[in-house]
Amino acid sequence: MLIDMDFLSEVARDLPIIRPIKEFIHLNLLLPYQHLPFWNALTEVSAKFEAHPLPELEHYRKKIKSGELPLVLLRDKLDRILKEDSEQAMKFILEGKFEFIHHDSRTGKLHDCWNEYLGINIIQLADGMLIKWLSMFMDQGIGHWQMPESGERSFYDCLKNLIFSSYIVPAPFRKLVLSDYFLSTPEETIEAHLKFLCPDEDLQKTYIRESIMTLRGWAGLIYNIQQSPQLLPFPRKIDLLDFLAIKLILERAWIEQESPITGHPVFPKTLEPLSLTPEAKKNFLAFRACQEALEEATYDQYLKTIIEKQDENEALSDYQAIFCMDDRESSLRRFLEETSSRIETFGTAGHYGINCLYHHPEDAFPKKQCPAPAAVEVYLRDVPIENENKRLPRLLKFKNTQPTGNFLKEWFFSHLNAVSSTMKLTSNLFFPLGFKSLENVIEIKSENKLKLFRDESVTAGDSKLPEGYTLNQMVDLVYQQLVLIGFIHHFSPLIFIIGHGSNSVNNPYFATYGCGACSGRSGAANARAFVEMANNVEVRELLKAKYGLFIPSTTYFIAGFHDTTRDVIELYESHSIPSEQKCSYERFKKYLSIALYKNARERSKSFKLVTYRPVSKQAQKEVLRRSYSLFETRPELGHTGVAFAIVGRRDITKGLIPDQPAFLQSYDPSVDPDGKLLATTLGAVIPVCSGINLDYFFSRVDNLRFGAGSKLPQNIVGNLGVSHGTESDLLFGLPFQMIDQHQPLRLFLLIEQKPEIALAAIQNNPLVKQIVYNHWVHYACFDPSIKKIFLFENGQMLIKENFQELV
Amino acid sequence: MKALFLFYLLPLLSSMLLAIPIKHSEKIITRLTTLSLAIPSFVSIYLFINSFHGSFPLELELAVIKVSGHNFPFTAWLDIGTFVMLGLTHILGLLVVKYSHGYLHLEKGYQRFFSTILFFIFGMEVLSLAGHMDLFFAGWEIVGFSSFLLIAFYRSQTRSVSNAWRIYNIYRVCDLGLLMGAVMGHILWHEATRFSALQEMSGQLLSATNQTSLTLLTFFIIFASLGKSAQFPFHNWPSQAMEGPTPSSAIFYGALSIHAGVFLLIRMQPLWSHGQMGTILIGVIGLLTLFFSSVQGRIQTNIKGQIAFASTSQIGLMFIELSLGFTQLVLIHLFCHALYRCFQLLVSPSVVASSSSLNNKVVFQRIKTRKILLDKLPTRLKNTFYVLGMTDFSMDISWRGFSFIPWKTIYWKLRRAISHPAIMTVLAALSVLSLSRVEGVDGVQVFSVLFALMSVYFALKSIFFHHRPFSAMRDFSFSLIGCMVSVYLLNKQLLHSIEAYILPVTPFLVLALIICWQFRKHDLRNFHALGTKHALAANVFMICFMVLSGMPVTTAFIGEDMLLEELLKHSSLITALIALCLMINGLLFAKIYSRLFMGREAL
Repeated sequence: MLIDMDFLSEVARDLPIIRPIKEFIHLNLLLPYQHLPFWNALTEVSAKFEAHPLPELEHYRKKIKSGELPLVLLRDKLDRILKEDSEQAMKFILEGKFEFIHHDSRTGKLHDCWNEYLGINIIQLADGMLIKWLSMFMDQGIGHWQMPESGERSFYDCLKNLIFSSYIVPAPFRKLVLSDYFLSTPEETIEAHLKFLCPDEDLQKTYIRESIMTLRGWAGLIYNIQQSPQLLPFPRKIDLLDFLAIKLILERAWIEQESPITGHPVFPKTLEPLSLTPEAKKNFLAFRACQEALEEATYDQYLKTIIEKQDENEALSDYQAIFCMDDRESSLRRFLEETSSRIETFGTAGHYGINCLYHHPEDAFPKKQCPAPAAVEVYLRDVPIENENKRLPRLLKFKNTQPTGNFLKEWFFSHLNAVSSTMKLTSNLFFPLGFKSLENVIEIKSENKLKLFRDESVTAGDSKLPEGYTLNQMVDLVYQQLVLIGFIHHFSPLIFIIGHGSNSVNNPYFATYGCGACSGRSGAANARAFVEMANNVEVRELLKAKYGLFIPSTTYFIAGFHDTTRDVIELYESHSIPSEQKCSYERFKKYLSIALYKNARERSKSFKLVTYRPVSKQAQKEVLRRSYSLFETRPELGHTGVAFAIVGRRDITKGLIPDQPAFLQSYDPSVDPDGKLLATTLGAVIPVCSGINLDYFFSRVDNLRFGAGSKLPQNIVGNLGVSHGTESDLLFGLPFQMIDQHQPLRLFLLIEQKPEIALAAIQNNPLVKQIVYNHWVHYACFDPSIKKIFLFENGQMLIKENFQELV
Repeated sequence: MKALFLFYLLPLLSSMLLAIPIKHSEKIITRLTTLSLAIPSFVSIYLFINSFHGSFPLELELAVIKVSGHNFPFTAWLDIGTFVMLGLTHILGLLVVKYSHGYLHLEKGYQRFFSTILFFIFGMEVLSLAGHMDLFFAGWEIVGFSSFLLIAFYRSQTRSVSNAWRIYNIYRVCDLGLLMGAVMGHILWHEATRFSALQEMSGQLLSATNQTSLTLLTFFIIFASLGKSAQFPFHNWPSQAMEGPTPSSAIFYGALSIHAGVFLLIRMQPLWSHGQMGTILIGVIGLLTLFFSSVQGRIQTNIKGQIAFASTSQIGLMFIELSLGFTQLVLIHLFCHALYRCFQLLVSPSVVASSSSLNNKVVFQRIKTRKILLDKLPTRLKNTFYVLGMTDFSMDISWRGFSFIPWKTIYWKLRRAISHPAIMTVLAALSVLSLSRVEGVDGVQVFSVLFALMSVYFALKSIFFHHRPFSAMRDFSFSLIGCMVSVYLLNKQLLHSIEAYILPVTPFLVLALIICWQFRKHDLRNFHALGTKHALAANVFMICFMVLSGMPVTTAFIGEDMLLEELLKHSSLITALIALCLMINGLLFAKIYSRLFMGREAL
């Protein structure tokens, strides 16, 4: 048979990986090409998708002008990459003209033959209908009338059954008998219609590939759902075969509908495989040289400061705070340390080692709260403390945002809500903050209690996972977390564990601002769970007995939650702090507040609209406004500008290049002589950080191909994704508004460790090895004993002696 | 007081200022738009307060333009309907503009967006204040044109551009109704149809007028309102029009533009309610729309599409209310509905995160246990409804079948006939004959019809046949010349009207021809995205587009209006043919403009 799953999965390799929009996680947009070396993958992709996966020429010229890209370095790179053509390439970079036109991605060459033959864009008509039907079938609660039997049957069967049982045959199917369109299985259907659409057997596979690729967004979502159906709350049975069958049926039906003549366009005899022209190849190499030179120049500035930095004297601290390693926390940590020298901060993955499905009492489903590649271990439930049967408060931010579908109700609502909705709109537009307080450290007495301890007598709810941890598991978990960040002695009386998340209105991409280590959700629950474990007396006793880790009884852990959009920190259960520490706790709250103000001020400087020099309160207002305003398309800048990840002690990064956000993972090489902990850390750090970095990178460099375009015309489809207007394919990647200020650089990952250990640490994890060996990130290590930097190149760590000077 | 009305020109002035390709900073644009909206709002408030004492409703003659012995009065008519529409325009205009200032921050085309929005607001002001049909038509045209520009706001998206063109088609076809209606009014009352006169007109007076003309007029008016207000069979287009930025969709298809049709019907109420036919027709259309959009709206799974169908179904309800005679009720309904729907569209992106959040236990239970009407039907009937809804009742296909394809077929048939050598010779002989024997021949009308038909032929040819801009534009010129010859043959007295129309237009025609000559090698079947590279050409062509399609801010509009009015006194057939030509010509310009200057741009 022509079409089998192998062929389809081969085609599917080129599809973007799309998850339902609320399940958003940052992934390398070229994930299917990660097995290739970075530059080879880019060359292949630029030919295959007619994309331009590097920044535009103008970007480099600006950098040359501002001195960030030194010409000496560029010339050097050009000589190495282009050899004898380097002079020509230099000329091209400095004053050449480069035009790159994206052809409409929705048609392929063979489909274009049909379009030209019939004189109208027949594929667009057929696709328009298919998009509608797909969204109706897959809908997750937006439509008022669900497609009959959409939950029970597969997409193909469901549609077939629906159309066969209808009294009226709908329009494009009137030319033939219905059973000639819908054969018994999708496979047969595909084969039958291919004979009509593309009689030439040699071209049929190409035709299918084109058919799927013209709706890349939907096909990508379907392929992903096919592999992990649990992503949809209302499950749907659909696979690429169903999709392809219906697509070919519609294409044929529309062609017959529109053309009275029965004939075929002349297809080209052979299709030349897409490849770059020699000139385009040369241009690409010139771009590559620019990018490599720019990356090297940028990193060198940072590396130089690290080498030259003097070790600081270790001082005992009064407070310790553990944050997520997220780059948005790096500035807050810096400000916190600036505020008082008695504060020590750490960074680690924001799920704090708790790989759980978390179930909030208001939620219908548990949510995965751990890094996307990690497997879920337990089910954690929050239980209301006071009264379990209390009527739950509802998240009614904006009532009546969706039409009811009933015209009488609508008539009634439009009279009832006209004035109130206009008032709401007016107040939000002119006074988005209303009477909200500007307080940025909030104490919260939680209404719910985590069911943390495993109760063997109760079997867990819907999931097959065990509910809660056993005591031993908790001890292991706490020890593992603390030892990973090298935090095994000098416990101060107050230790804060801060998760993070984000709140913004009118933003379909809210999940992109969440905590990457918690699958794009808020990390508050994980922080609370960790604190509860660490404060437990039994756990502490066992920690001492099993691992020799002594946490003094005077030490108290406090959970918190940092809202990165509003720059507000919530502290949980502060009422149970031992009374002797109340005073120092109050002092810390003040420090925290000052640090948050400073952070807000720095952030609002980077928002372009701000023209005033913000004093702290104003800055706080500005960031709060961004969170509450309906018209704000950039509530925060997310991971914009992130280019570094540093795994090492805080000492080596403290006080360096202030405006450079970086992923900061704490790690102490002295407690890890054999690199085992490092391997564990990198297994989580490298995939997540490079995913974030490369998502931003490719969305920024070619927003038309890999990104979602502008946010402004976007429309929400079936709670699944966004589209442009009502008729477009699903959009993927990041929208223009999230990446327009991003500097596209590959991630530079610096490990504080000896080169041989750093090299050994990436050997055992195939995913990590792939990413590093194919240069999707720059991997380097800093040997603290000799104060030298080693760069990973061609399978070995090479010492780096020369650092680029900027003029 | 009359001078106050000058402030309503502010949006137009600012719009033109922003349309000039000089880049302004966002701050300046923000201030300019806010100011040019706020001042007219104050004027409106002043007028509203003033209306409590003094004679109300009130008709004000603001100015009169005289063109070759022909008067074009600018009259304002202030009644409660005016204030409802004006109030909506200014309230929502201000809110949406404020919203867009932040929303469009750093967007390419920031200035273009506000220029178009202001132009639209000016159109809405004219439409609400207009004292007679001709002025009303002016506002109506501006609204349609700016709608085209905003749907195609993302010029590099070919789908947006072609949707814009498709909707502009519907607009133009329905505008033909209003144009004919306006011209008919002149025949019936020997002046433009004044709304004040219409209100005072008693049934008897209406009964005294020519009943056929009256019925025809009613029909034209209703047809016009169908297109703008997206009623059956045109109720699908608002969902296709959601291609521009959210605030523009909100103000057009949620709030203002879509209610213009209802407003027209309110204005013309004495006219259509005079005969039984109009009332029944409006009611039936309302009912049909209500049915179709309710079914389609319930099936939609994207939020903007759902809102679009909810809007059309509410407007269908307004049509029913109108036919039942509850005019005051409709005004309230219209006001409330516009405010409510605009808000809904503006917050539509929050639907993932907000109350309908699936993850909420309550919401999930509600969705899961939702009981719907459809489930009560027997399975086959239920499936039939669903299938019909999901294929949009085959409305688009039928619409293509009814409108687009026949034109194409007519054109091809005509073409085959004309290209026959025998017919060619006869035609040529006849035309020579007609030209040489103009004077004193009674049979001249035949030739006149002949020329008018030829113009239609050329107009159709220009749009359906040519793939090169220049040849299309050449045929367009032929069609224009054909029209003029036809008018001249009909009656030599009309020469001054022809002059009044053609003279101001000619330079722009020449300009358009030059531009098309410059791009003669480009194929009109593809998009060429020359807009950024050849910004000057694009802008000049846009001006030619506005002038030659009779856009109301240009003098051509008055010329066109006059010409048609004079013409109608002599022959209704030729008037209809020539009006058709003019409408098609507008479409041609939209087509050439979108194909040449829009589309995927180079990086």
